[in-house]
Amino acid sequence: MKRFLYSNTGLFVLILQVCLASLCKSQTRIRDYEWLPLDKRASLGKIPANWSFADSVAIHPEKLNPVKIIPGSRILVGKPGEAIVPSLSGRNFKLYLVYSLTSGASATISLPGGSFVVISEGRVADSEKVSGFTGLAPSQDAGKTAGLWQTLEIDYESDIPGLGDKARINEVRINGVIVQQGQYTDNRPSSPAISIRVDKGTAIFHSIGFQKFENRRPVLLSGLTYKIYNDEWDSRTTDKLALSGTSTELTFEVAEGRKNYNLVYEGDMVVKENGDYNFTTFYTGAYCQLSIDGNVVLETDQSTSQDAHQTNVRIEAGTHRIRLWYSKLPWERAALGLRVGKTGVRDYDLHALSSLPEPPVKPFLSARPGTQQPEMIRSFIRFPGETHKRTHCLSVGTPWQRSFSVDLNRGALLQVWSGAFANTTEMWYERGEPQLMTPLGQTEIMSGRSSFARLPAADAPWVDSASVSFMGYRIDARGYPAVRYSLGPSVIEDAITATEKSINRTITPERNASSGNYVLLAEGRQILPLEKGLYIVDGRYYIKLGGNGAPILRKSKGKEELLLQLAQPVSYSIIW
Amino acid sequence: MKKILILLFLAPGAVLDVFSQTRMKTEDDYYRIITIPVPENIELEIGGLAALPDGRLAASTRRGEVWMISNPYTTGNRKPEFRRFAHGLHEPLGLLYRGNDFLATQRGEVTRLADTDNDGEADLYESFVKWPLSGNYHQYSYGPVRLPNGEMILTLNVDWIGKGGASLSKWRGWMLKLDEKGNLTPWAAGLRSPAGFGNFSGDIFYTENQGDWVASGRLTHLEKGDFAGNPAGLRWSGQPGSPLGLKPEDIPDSGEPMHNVATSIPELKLPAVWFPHTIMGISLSDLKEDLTAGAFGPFKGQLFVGDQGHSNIMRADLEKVNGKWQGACFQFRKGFASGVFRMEWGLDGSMFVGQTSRGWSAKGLAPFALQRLVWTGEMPFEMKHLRAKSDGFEITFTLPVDPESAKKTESWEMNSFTYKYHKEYGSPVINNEAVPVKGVIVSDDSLSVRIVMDRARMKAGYIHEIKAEGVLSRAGLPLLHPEGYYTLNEIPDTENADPALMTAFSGTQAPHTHTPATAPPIDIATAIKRVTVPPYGWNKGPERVITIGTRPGLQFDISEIRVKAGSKVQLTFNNSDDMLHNLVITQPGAANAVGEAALALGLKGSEKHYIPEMAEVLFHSNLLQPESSETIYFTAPSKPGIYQYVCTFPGHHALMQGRLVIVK
Repeated sequence: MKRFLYSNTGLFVLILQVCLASLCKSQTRIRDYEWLPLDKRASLGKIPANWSFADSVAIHPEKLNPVKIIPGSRILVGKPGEAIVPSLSGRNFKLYLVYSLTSGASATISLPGGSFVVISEGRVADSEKVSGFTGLAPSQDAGKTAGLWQTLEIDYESDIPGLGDKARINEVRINGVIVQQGQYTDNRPSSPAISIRVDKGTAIFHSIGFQKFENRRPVLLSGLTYKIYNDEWDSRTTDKLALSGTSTELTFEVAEGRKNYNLVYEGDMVVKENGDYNFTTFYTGAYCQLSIDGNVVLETDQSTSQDAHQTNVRIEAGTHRIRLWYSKLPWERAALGLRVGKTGVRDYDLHALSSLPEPPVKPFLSARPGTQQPEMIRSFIRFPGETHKRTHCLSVGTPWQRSFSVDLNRGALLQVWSGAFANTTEMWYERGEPQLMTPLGQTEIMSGRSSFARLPAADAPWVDSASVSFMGYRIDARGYPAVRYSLGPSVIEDAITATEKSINRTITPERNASSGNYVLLAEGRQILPLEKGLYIVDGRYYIKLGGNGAPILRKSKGKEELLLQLAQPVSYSIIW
Repeated sequence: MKKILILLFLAPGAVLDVFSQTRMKTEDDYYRIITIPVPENIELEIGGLAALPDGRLAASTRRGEVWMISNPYTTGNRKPEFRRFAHGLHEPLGLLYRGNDFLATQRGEVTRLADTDNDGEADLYESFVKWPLSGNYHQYSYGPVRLPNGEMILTLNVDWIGKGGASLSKWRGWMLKLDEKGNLTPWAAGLRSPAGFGNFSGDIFYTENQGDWVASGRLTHLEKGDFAGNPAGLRWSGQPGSPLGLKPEDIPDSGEPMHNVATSIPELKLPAVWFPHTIMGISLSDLKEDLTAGAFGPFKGQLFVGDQGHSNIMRADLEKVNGKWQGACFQFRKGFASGVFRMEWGLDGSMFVGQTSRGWSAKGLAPFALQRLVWTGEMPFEMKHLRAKSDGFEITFTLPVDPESAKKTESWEMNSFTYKYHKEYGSPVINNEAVPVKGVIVSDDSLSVRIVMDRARMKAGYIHEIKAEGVLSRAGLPLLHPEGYYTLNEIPDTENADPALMTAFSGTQAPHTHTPATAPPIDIATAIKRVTVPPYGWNKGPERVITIGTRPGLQFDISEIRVKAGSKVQLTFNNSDDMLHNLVITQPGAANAVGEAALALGLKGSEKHYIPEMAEVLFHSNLLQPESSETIYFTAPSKPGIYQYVCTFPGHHALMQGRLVIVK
C-alpha cells in the first residue's frame, strides 16, 4: 500500500492556494505574517515529550490512527498531553496556523487572557463542538476532513481602550470562512501566553504565522495640494483645470458640492519604516488611481464605497510622492477614502473621516436546503480568475450541508462547499443586478473545465466544452438532479449527490458509449495517489474512485490531471 | 344568467337609475379586484401565469419557483392551496401550459417541466432551447406565448449598460418564433423591454417600455422582418436566419417624430397605439385579447394591457386602416396591489393578475400580489370604440348617451401631439396643440357620436387626445374614463360627415388655450423657483451645500435635511436611478397636494417638468434624465417648520418624499 508523504515542496504551492482561495471572500493578507521558524526549536520554547518534528507526515482520511511520520524538522507534530508554548505574546495580534488533523482529532489554541479556539476533525468526541468553538458555537462548521491542510486565523485584541477587563476576538476564520466575529471575553492576564494543546488524535502544524499590532502610524501625508478638473467623469483626462489649492486633509469636500469633477491630490508621503504596505481605496465614483513616486500602483474603475480595492507596495523609509486621482460620477454622492497598513499595523485612514460616509446597508437574502430535500438554484456564477460570468449554472444545496455548482453550458464542476448554502442577495435584492449566487460555506474551487470530453487519444490534451451540450435533468426520488448532456453522438448522465463529508458523482454513458469519451476527475498542481483508488489533490481534497476503472494520472500544460475512460459508468467522490 | 338578469333590470329601470345616482360610480362597481391570499413564507413575485383547464393556476416567480395553486377562484372556504411544483429556475418570466407539461422561460433557456410520476412536483427539467447570455441583469427573457396557429413566440430584453441599451449576445432585442422541436427563428427586431406579447385578431402584438429610443409605452404589431424602433438588436441583422438587413448605423438620431423617420426606413414599424407616458401608464407589461365572449364585459375583441409601475390595466381598441393596425387606448382599472406584470384568463372569464414590484416600484405598494379581476355584470359607461374617420372620429359608447350632453360644445376637448424619436431616454410631448371640434353627430340610437374636425387638423403620426368629460349617459352618468388617445398613423378615406346632420359648434370651441410648442415652457412665476446659477449677490458663496441623490425603489437617499432659516442654500440633486425624477420643495404638509396637482397636468406635465403652478411649490429642479444631475440655489424660508421635498413625476410622490426642516 502506497501512502502519500507530505513534502515541503508541495506545501508551498498549497499555502499559496489556501491564501488565494480565502482572498476571494475575505481580506486575509498572508504576506503580512511573520512566520515562526519551526526548525529553530528555541522559538517554540520547551518542547514537551508529546510533541515532535517531522519532515513528512502521512495521514489517512478515514482510518483512525495510521499516521506515518518521517522524523525531521519542518513539521510540528502534536499528540495529547502537555501544551506547547511558542514564544509568541501580545495583547493585540493575529495568529495564523496551517494545520492538519487525523480522523477525530482535536486541539485547543489558548489565547492570552484565557480565551481559546478549538479546532477539530468532525465533531469533538462526545460533544457538538466543531472547529472554531470559542465557548460559543461557530456560525458554521468550516472544518475539513482528516489529512487535508486547513487554516485557522484568529484576530484578537485585549488592549482596547476603556475595556481593561475584556478582550475581544475580532474574528476567527476556519479555512478562510469567518465563523466568529466580535466576541467579547473576559481578560484574565494570569495566563499570558499563546499555547497549543492537542486533546485527541494527532495534529500537525506546518506553519505558524503571527503579527503583533502596535498603535503606530508609519505613513503620514503632508504638503497636500489638490487640483479640480472639469473633465467629464468618463474621459480619464485632466485637462480642464477649474480650481487648485492646498489642504491639510485628504477629502473630496474641497470640491465644494460640484457634481462632476476629477480631483487630483498630490503630496508628500513620509514613511518611517521600510515595509510592504497595503493601500486600500474606497470610493463611489467612476475611476480611482493611486500613484507613488510616479508609478501607478492601483487603478480601478466604477465602484461604490462598499467595495475595497487593495494593493501592496514595497516602500523604503523616507519621503515619497503620492498622487491620488478620483473621478466622481455626476449622479452619485461622492465618497473617497484611502487606508494604509502593514505587518503589525492595522489599517488606518489617511483620509478625513467626512470624506468617506457610511455606505447604505443591504439586507441579506439566502437560500437553504430542506432537512430532507436538496434545494436548487440557477444563477450566474463568477468563477475565480475569469472576467465573464458563467451564465448557465446550477447549484445544489443538500441536507448534508455539502453543496456544489455546475456550469451546465460546459458540463463543468465549478465548486463544492460545506456549511451554509447560498447567498442570493445579489440575485433577489431589488433588481439583483449581478445575478450572482455565492457560496456561504467553506468552498473548494474545482477546475471549472468540462468534466467530459471526447479525446482522439488518451494522451491528447483535454478539450473544454467543445462538444458538450446540456439536455436537462431529472429529479431523483431524493430530490437530486441527474443532469444529462450530449457529448458528440453520445448521451451521458451526470448524477451528483452528497453525504456528510463528500460529493458523490456517478457518470453513466446512456447512449452511444465510446471508448474515446473521458471524464476529468480532477485537475491540480499536484495529484498524488494515496492508495488504490484514492488520490489527494493539492492537499485540498481527496478523490476516491467508486469502481474498478484504471485512472490516468498525467501532466498537461503545467498541471496534473486525473482522467478516467467513460466506456462504463464512472463513480467517484470528492471528499474534503 | 345572473348578469342577464341585472341587465334586464337596468335597461328599462328608472327606479334603479335614481338609486344609482345617489352615489358616484367607481371602477369597483363594475370590475372587482379579488385578492388571492398567499401563505406568508412564499415570495410570489410573479413572472408567469398559466390557468389550467382543471381549475388550478400555475405561477412562476422571479425567485425561480413554480407554484401550483388549487382553488385560485377562492370558492368554498375561500382558501387556495399552494404547492411548489418546481424550483431553482433563473428568474422565469413566462409559463406556458401544454396539457401534460409546462414550458418556462428562464433567463437563458426555455425549460420543459413535467411531473412524470404524478406526485404533484416536476421531476423532469428538460432544456427545450437555450441561448447565450452576457451576464447583464437586464437580459430578461419572456415567453413562450402560444399563437392560435400553434406556433410559439418569445422575446429577449436588451442589456442595460448605463445611459442606454445594448445587445451583448445574440438575438437580444428580438422576437423569435419557437417550434415544437425547440428551434428558434428570428421574427422581428428593435425590441427593448418586451414584457408583453401575444395574439390579437390573428396577428402578433407586443408592448414596449419607455427607454432609450422609446418615447413612451406603446403597442406594436409585429410582422416578420419588422423593426420596432430600438436599434441595439440590429447588430444581429444579416446573421443566418435574420429577416432583416437593417443595421444600427442606419437609424438616424435626429429627434424627428418616428412617423417622419419611417418614411425613409420602411422596416421601421410605427406603434399601433401609443400609451402616453404617465397619463396612461409608465411601464407596459402583459397584453391579453378579450376572448371571453362577454363574460368579462362589453369589450369583446379588444385588448387589455397591464402596467407594472402604475399598477393598472388599460384597454386598447384597434382597427385596420389602409391595411395597418392602429387605434385608441383608455384607462380601464386601477388600484392593483403591486406592479401588474402578468394577466391570464380564468376559466370563468375573469382575469388573474400576477404582480411584482421588486426593483421597479409600483403605485401598488405590496412587493408582490396575485389578484383576480371580475366583471360584476353591471355595464360601465365607457367609450367602447374610438375610430378614425377622414374628418374626425367616431365614438361608440357602451350605453346610450344623453344626446343633449353630447351636443354641448363644452363637453368636448381635443388635442394632438407627438414624440421625438431619438437615442435619449423617453421624450417630451412635442407639437402639442388644441384641435377645435367643428361639431358632432349623435346617432339615432344614441350609442355613437361622430366628432367632426377640420381635415387639415387630422395629423398623421400624431396622438389625438379626446376628452368627453361632459358627455352623460341617458341615465345621467358621466363616463367612467372620459379620455381616449388615438394614434393616427393612417388617415382613413371615409365619407365626410353630413353637415346637415351635424350639431355645429361655434368657432369658439377649444377654449382651453395651449402653450405653443415653440414658446418657453415655463413662465416667469415658476422660473424663479428654479435658479441654477449662483444668484447675484452671493459673493461669499452658499452658506449651506446639500447633495441629495436617489435610491432604487422611489426614494431619496436622504430623508431629512436640516437648514437654518433664511440661509443661502446650494442643492445638488443627483438622479442615479434609471427613471426620471425631479425634486420639488414644498410648503409644510403640501407634498401630496403638489404631487396630485402635477399628475393633473396631464399632457402638459412633461414640458412643465411636472411642476404645477401653485404657491405651495417653493423651489424645484427640472425633471432629470436617469444618471444626470442639477444644482439649484435658493434662500431657505425664514419661517421655521417642517417643509417637504418630493418628486412629482407621476406615480412617485406618495413614496418619494423627505423633510426639509427649517430651524432658527
